[in-house]
Amino acid sequence: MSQLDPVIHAPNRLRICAMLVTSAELDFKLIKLQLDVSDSVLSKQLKALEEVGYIETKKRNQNGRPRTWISLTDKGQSAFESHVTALQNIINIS
Amino acid sequence: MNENMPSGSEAKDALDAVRNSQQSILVEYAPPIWLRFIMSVSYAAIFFGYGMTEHENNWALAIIVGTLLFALSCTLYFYLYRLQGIKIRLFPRSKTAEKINLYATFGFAGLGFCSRFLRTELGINWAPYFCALAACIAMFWLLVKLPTGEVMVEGK
Repeated sequence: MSQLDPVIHAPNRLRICAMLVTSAELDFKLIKLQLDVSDSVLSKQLKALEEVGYIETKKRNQNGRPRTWISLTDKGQSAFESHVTALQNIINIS
Repeated sequence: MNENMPSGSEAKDALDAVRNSQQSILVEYAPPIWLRFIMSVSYAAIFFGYGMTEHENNWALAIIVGTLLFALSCTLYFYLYRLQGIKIRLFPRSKTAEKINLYATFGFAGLGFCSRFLRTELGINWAPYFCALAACIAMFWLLVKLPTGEVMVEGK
């Protein structure tokens, strides 16, 4: 039976994972824009996900400007899928 | 039962938030529809050219032009996404998307085979037209429904 993941369950972190599932990598600025949060709040959320190995961050220069790209790891992908399944199970039971 | 377990309505809200976030990425940031149309038409041109090509006719040019246009429009598609801060995956990771891609691969292979075989071996002259149209519609549908190649979390 799929379990709810306490790390992913926080609303912003759940939305971050949901967005990351749709693509290979997302820009830090795009996630910030979507969540409508400050840099520090987003960094804190990303750090929590990175610490458990759910995401990876890479800094690359584009046109001389540093850009931070975030991607979901395989562990993060399966954790997100289990979490979503657990949520669907709760809805089905209730 | 765990007291921290969310209620049904909380779980539904969480899933709605997931779907809304994914919808934003898949719809708001998708490249323009004309680009997806050009991709579909150029892809169809490859099928049509392949079905119509014989030893000494000019339909082979349709394959070359179609391939070039398709490659260029794909590059632009990827580039536009990247400019907006989205790097899309060449091969999907979720099982549902993998399944859809597998069906699409076999479907397109079948259309390519039928486009030529039905005309040259069975004399069905409209087969390349039909297969090219089917390939165009299928490709356009895939580009609209799965713009980044990944699927959204399903509803209830």
